[in-house]
Amino acid sequence: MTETARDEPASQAEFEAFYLRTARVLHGYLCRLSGDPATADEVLQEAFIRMIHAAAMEEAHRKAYLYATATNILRDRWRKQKREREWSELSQPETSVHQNFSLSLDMAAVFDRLSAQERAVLWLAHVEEMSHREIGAILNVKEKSVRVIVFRAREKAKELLERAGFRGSHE
Amino acid sequence: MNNNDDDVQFDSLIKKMAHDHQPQLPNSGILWWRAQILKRQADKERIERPLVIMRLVAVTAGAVILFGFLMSNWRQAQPAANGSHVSFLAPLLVFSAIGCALLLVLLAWPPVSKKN
Repeated sequence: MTETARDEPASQAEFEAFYLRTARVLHGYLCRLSGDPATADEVLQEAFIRMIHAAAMEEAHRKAYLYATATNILRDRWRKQKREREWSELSQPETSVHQNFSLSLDMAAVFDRLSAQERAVLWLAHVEEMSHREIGAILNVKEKSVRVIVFRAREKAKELLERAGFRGSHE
Repeated sequence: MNNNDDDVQFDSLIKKMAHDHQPQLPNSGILWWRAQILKRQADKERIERPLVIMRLVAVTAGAVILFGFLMSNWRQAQPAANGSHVSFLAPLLVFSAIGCALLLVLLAWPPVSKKN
């Protein structure tokens, strides 16, 4: 947020600093979203390369651009694999939650039971602490809808956690 | 536990999950240079595009002209091909046709639809 807009393309040093700040979290986002580390690796690299080729922008915009690009690349891959439905509709069956949860709380297991869109909004809202407007721009969803999706996703995740035996007071 | 505590705890759990993610990331320097190479390739392709199109046009036009030339002079070329009658124009026509065909091959080489 501290950087200012500039006209010249980003330098290698600037890119490397930005990469070190963002790559790990972006990789986590892609991993959670795709469920496959190899896919996350490929999409991450492609998104960063596209960002290097794009015109220079402020850091905040760059981050949003990176997330939007990475999400779109992943979406395109799903579309190619005819798995687009999974993006907005398909949620995992909840019947096996008790069987698959480990006794220690596993948030990753909860994430696996959410739809891709729910995973994306929760990550962007809680990890990246983005505003609803920013999330909407990245996921191509209206700001008002984001508010609803975030609320529902959070409630669903909490419910899954409770079903797995997690109680806030136990922590 | 109220709803607010719940949200705070939920938030900290997600953040912990993100923090615990420690992948083996690709080297940023390699990524930067890969991007530069891809950019150069894209620039080269963009610059060469008119050249590739013009070559295609030249090959097509050459083929059409050669075909038209052969058709219009078919009567004179046919005896030469059969070997029954040799007109003074026939060898010229045959050599021209071979020359044009060679020129077309040279124009079309290397293949224009080369993809990286």
